[in-house]
Amino acid sequence: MPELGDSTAPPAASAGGSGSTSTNGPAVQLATSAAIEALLELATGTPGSPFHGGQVRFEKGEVVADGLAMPFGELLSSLDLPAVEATATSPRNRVKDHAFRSFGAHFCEARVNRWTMETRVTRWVCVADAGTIVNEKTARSQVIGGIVMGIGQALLEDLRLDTATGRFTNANLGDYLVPVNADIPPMDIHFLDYPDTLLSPLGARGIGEFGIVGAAAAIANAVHNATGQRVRDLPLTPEKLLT
Amino acid sequence: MELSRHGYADAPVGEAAQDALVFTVNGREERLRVDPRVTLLDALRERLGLTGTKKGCDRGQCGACTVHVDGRRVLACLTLAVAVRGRSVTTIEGVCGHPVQRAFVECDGFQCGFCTPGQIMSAVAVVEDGRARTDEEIREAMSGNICRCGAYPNIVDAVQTAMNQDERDRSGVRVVRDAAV
Repeated sequence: MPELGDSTAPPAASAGGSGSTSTNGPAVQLATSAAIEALLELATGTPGSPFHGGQVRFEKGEVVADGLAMPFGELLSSLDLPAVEATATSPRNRVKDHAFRSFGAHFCEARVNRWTMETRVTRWVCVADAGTIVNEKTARSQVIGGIVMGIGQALLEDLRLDTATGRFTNANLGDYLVPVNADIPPMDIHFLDYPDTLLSPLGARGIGEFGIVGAAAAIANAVHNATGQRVRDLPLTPEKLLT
Repeated sequence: MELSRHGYADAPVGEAAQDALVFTVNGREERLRVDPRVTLLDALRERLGLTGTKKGCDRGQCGACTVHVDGRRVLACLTLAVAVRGRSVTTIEGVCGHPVQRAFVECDGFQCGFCTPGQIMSAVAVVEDGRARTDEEIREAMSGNICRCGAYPNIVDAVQTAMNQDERDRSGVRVVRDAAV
């Protein structure tokens, strides 16, 4: 029987508004530092510890002093402890004279069939400045997903309302078109990965909602470049380009 | 109930409708008594507890319900359970550890994961069929599986990875396959 809302994950800032990593990340970072500090205090302050009374540092998962390096798990076991814990709070950002936004540029190549006016997107490049990129693999996938949605917005998606009844007339995937695999070109995504330390020590800003912004505009500009036609009504269907 | 006039070639007729439906799922024989109108999708999920196959639209438009019947991809939501009498059905639960599944993880070919069982079942068929080799052909062959999270480029990478395990450039430089790039 599935239980809704049952999770072992702790309460955290919600995954929305492109704020999850930028908000939870610094707190995790601080708590990790505090836990390492607590570990090193245990190492030097516990009688019987191989590091008792000495000078220690933490390197690559190991507690290190002159001539001795021990993985932290081994140290905890030797002190008969199951774990070391710490709590930390990341401070609220109080910078008043700066706004924090992620920025980027979309470059889109599109081809428009000269007779049918069908538009196909053939190449895409996106360069983003979102501060520190914590996970390059998933960050790239997130931006790609946004661009795919932008291609849908620009060329395919059209929700039609029956004004007499207020109901949607094309509420199914056969009539409301979302991009399929063959609609999507190869994508080249780059991040500057430049830490925004004014925001937090982690330096990560947001990319959750980033990818779709400006994607449809890039496509519309490419269509204008190809056809000379400026269409400001999405989706850019062949009918709108056939004059 | 006379079913033959509806054109279900393999459906039981008359008294035979009382017999249990016998078919193989992931190598295991199953016997079910089903109403003739039950879809293969509902039989797998509700009767056999194989909930890996997903119901995205229940009308053959999204591909989330993709399974194999005798090795060929079908949409389980548009297949009657009685139509697979005597046949061999493979679901996502039956391809655990397949190189395609590993490739999807390696290439991050998913986000929410809802379309992923269908994508993997399609990808397994595309790889085993072997006729789609270029990125363009793979995209076309995989277009029956919609992904709203937009993982398509990574899905294409995953299919290529699974197909070209030996041919991949081991120096770590990503092999550029598309002529257009």
